Amino acid sequence: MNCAELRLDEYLDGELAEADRAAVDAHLSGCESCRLELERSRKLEAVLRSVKTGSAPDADRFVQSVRLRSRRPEWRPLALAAALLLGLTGLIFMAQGGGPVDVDAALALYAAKPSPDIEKQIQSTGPQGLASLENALESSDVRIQFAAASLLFKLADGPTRDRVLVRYQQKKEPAGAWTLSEPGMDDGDTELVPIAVSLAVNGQDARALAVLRKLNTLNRKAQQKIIDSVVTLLHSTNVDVQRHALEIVKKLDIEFPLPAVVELLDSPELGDEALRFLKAETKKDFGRDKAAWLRAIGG
Amino acid sequence: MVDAELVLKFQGGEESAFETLVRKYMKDAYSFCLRLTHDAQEAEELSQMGFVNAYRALRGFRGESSFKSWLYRIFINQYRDRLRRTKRAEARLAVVREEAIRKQSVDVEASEKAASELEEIVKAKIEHLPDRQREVLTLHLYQGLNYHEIAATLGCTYDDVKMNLSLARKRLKEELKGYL
Repeated sequence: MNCAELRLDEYLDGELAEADRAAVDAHLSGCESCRLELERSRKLEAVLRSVKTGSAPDADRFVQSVRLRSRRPEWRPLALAAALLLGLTGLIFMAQGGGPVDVDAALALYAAKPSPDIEKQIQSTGPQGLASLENALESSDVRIQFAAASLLFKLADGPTRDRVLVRYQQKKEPAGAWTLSEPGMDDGDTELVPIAVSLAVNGQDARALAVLRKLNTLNRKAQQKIIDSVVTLLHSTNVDVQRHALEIVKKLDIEFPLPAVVELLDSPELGDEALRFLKAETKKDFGRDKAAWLRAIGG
Repeated sequence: MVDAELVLKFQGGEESAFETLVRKYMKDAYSFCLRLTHDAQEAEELSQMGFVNAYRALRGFRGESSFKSWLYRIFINQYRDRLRRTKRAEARLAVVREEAIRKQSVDVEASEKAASELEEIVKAKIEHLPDRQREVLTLHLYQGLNYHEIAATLGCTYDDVKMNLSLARKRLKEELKGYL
């Protein structure tokens, strides 16, 4: 073995088989420059390992947080608690002399020249600040919109980011710059369908419908995905989810497969509404007779 | 109890097995994320969301790699996603973007001058390694993964790990030669 063949890193890391290790040992015993190199490697290792990280978060709190975040239905009360806590933090910040932060003014500064300080100021305002940022998405100034969307992507929680995402997307332009564009322009935007549908199910029907309409108008590929998602929801065992899905069916200009709506005729809560919809769509009336409806619409 | 047993218990419906896994790996996960992000708040968010994603995906885990490699892969992917999102969020229209780049280079110079302590200097040098070299070095040095485990975590070959680790060390030896 010569110096060039020496596998010092693997030797150091214990990755060599016994025979290879012995060969390296034999070489090292007769080669001072390789011994020095090994010594330097060991010193580097010691220096790198001397860098400590901060102490880990409290285990119970960490586990509790993971547990809550792992179960989506429990997110809402948690989000509310977190929002209250953040709001309180904002108040404490003000009480400690930090002074109230004018989010709109800070955002204008950030739009002109982004800085981590402004970001921290806005973050310190908690959920109120995030709400102001969401409002700023409506600004007539595209730079304010962009700054608000960028900050929301960085500071907001997952559901808020989803909401921002379905309203505006950041797209890379050929020149390498980034800009905001509305969803529906690219084939990849079909990924937004499940997010938008889940927003509808979370009670944000108007916003979700606006996005689904755009996707449907601008991107034909999205249509099948919308149909699939909504039909799945129509078959849900949760009546609220079914109700939101039926709303999408009623309001979106897409021909959904009617048999999925016929299934709702049995529902004590949604049967009447489903019947009204079927009558309006087909100009026929078979009452609650599902078999007759299915015969008539070819299901 | 070994990881594989805990995974099977969880897959069999025993939720508490996952909690045991979280407790076992949370310190490693947090320190790993902290070494990648250098931000305590972000590291906690990243490590928590990593476990949340692991919880959601664990039922589909078939043990093709060790649980540990699989888990680190989730953290790495989570980190890369976040990096992409942050980079996207920070990117601005051309003029603003140039300003940011200028500012960033000033920041690097300033931080090098200000880094009087070796630890800060080492952190900065590691931070400026190319992404793959930094990931390999961090997984090996601080998380104690061997080459095979790193390859499984990053979805690359054993030789890629070897090469990137070697390049990272070569570069750091050069940059830190005054301290060796």
